[in-house]
Amino acid sequence: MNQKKEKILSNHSVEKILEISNLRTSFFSDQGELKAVDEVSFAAYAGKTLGIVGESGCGKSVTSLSIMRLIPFPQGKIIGGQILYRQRNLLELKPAEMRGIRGNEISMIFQEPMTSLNPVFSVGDQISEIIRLHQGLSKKESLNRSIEVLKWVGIPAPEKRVHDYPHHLSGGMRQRVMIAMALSCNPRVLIADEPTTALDVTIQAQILELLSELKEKMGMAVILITHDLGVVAEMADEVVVMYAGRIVEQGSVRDIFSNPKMPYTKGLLNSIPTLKKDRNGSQKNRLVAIPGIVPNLLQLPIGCRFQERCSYIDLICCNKEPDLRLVLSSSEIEHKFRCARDISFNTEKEILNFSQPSSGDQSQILSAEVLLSVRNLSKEYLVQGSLFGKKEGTVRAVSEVSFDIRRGETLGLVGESGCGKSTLGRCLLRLIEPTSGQIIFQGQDMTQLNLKKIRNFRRHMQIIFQDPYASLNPRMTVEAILSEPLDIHHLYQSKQEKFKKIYKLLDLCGLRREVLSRYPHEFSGGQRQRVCIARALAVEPEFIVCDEPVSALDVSIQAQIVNLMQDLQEELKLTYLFISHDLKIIEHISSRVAVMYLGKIVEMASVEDLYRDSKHPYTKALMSSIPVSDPNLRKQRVILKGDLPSPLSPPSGCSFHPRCPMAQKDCQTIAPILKNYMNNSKSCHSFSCHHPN
Amino acid sequence: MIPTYKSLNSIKNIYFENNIWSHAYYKLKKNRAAITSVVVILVYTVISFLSKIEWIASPWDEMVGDSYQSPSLNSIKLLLGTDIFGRSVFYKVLHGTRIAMSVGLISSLMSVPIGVILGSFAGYFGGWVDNLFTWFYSTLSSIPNIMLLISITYLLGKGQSAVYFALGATAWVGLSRVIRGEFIKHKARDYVVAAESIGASTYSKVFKHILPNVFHYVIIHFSVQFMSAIKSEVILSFLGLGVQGQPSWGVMIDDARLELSRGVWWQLAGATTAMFLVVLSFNTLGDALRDALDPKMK
Repeated sequence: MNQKKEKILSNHSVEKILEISNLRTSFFSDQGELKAVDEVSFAAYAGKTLGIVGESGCGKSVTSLSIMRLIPFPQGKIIGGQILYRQRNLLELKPAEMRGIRGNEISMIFQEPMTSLNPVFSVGDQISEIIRLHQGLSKKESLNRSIEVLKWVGIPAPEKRVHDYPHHLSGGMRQRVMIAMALSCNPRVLIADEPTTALDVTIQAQILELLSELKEKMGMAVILITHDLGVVAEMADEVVVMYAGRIVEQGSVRDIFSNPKMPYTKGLLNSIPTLKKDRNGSQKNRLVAIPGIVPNLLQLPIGCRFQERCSYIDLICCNKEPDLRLVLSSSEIEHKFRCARDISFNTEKEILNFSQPSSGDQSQILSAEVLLSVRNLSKEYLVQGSLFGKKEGTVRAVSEVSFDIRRGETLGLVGESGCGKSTLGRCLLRLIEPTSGQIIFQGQDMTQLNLKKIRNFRRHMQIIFQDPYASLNPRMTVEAILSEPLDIHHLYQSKQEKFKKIYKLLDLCGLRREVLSRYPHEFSGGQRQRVCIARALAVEPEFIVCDEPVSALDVSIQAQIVNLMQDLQEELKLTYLFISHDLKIIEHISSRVAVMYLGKIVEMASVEDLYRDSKHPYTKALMSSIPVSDPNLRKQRVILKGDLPSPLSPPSGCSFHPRCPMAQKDCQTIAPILKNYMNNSKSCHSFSCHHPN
Repeated sequence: MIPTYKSLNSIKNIYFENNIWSHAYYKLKKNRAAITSVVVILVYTVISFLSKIEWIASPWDEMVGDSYQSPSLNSIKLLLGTDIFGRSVFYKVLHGTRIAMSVGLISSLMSVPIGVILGSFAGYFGGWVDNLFTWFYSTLSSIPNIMLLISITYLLGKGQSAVYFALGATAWVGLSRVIRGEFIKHKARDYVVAAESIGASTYSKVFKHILPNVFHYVIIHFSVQFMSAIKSEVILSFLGLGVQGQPSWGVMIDDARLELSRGVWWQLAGATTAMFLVVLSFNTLGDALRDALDPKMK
């Protein structure tokens, strides 16, 4: 056995570049020591990708900052362990020596490309600064080198772009520039901290492709930190799962995904929705969420840190924290896990049978009453120049959109950011005034109502926002937040009745009664979103616009909220317009899906039709850019070129033609209209494209 | 990235009353600097009240000794020496407190409502309301403040009420500009849109939702305005446009100008120390109040 292992290791002739052993990083406050990273060990190899996954607050980012020795001082401190970079312990280097390594030999890409670039320097200045610092090249040489790196990362016309300022570039382009900066000195290790979280799926696919290409070319070790298991499955060779500052499971990507040993890993895997075609057409399932949240690192339980959220809890879990132990692995990479019990999970995703009335068969949907009908809805913004300048033009955020929503169904609305999906959602409630078109809700044209009537009318339709941090008034307690809608619409006779209603709302949304006296900042993101949902439900609406309600949440929390929303839909017979850029969530929750591109709906179909047989090339590209959370199913993607065009000057003809792989001549001149596929009244599949297939 | 200490606080919080003011009271009580400031301000208020009804420091314009007698601990009247007419400087300081406190309070009470209302309406409604408002305050603030004060006091005649009015009518500009900016920022926030979607009226959005979130600016302004009013009164009195026939800190500083060259420092020292203490207290209290009223600072 041992011999065999050695043999494999010798075959496995990759260089170990970075080795971290027993790293401990703590933050100190007046409440005590907070062990953000606790005894973490792993290694990174040249040409390999190591993925670090876990929920927020589990110590992923602190680990990466520790490697760079960028822990904020004096609150934070690396207390122990070793970080060996090519036989040198980084923790023992002098600050000046460390500066020579940072950005030169180990570099980092951050999550927010919008804020990580300095807005007052041109892109070229920022890249060449690093090159000059580390390699001592002249100004001219470093500029040439910058152009070269920009070319690597696939920026078109780098000679011109090098003089651009960050605000000239789109999000995807900025992330490319960030990568170019990180790569400018040929680093041996690249740490990517959530490099694609802020980007759209199509752009995410481009960036991931680029990263793996560059990794091969330059033989770097890549440490990829992400909460998206799909990204890890596509990119990583080895995976480290972190929970509450500890490594809880570690192994090759195949082992982790096909044979998880730690209930937390299993829980994470369960909580992401998988596309139906990837799970062999099994029934629609309910997401299996991990209950609760990551424990407070100041008040860790005795024994296993995951015990409070674990469904396999046993007495042994509460006695002593288990050590990492080895398990037989399928590859040369050791598979270790931290669980006192030895549970073998079934390899299939756990499926709870769950009947979802809203996503019944198509005929059932088509027979239900139309609740909301939108006709030719448009929203235009005037873009003004300076005070004395002429107006520059109009942006059509939403352009001639028409659709129906039937009672009890969920219409999913997908598209990249900037395609107008949020504007559309807000127009429906007239939170933004539409420029033209009709919104007919229960036979009443919403666009004709005056302000006072519309406020009363909004009792029937509500909205839930993306950012649960911004959508609750920080100065109001939960009680005040939930009372307000009841007060406004006089929904109670007595104080008793009011509290009965509030308690019922809390019960519905899975909140305890103690929360009434608390302020929003005391809650976690998931709980805040529950409060937002409770507020929306307070007025007993029939229709709710859900504007990316789970995008800002961790996967396990996402699953909790999605389940909650489905339960509520069933219990209260709600109708949803579910806006999201996440195609997996959309598939999971919707019965029909509309795909938006530059303010127009380009395809609309039942969820089965759309995911099985999409017609519009844009939908196809979207579908193929979804990372699949199964390393065995890595696939060839259709990668879209370029970014979303500026809505200020949309392309002529079909607005998708500049990025479309099958564009032909007529696409440039004639705009296709949304028409029904097969002209079949039974089918609700429609799309706008001249050349499907 | 760094876990916060929410859960600890929330456990503690259950036992608290559900009221922002009782929280604030509890937090203020623990802040020693704030308590000291409150005590100082209370003492100043009591002094102004007592000197108004002539219980203390009365009569102030009586001769208690020779001209320019230096401070001595022998008698309370001579604690800060005497002025050119042999009057007690200490009594004058006490009397000046009344003028200072009333100028500060009245001008703050005048400028805060004007500033809040104009600023919030301009910021919330935008459009022509905002244009009109911006034009108005730009015009007002383009005139040097002291010139404006002087012309208003000329217009209304010299005296105490002219000073009140002049200060109140000019001091709102800064506050309303800040409030306007904050309203523009906050009205686009999701929580305001959410309030709109549950049917909240404009009144409720402005006063119930946005205003509490920008209220710390009002508190800061109040304390800053209090001290700047006291300072402006001093300047006006110094220029001979302020309070007539009564001792005020400004008049005393004005007198001290000529006296300093003769080595008579006590008039200046008395007035400035009194001013320093009250200004510092208001500043400290303002900061403490702002923190105490912020639910995030628990």
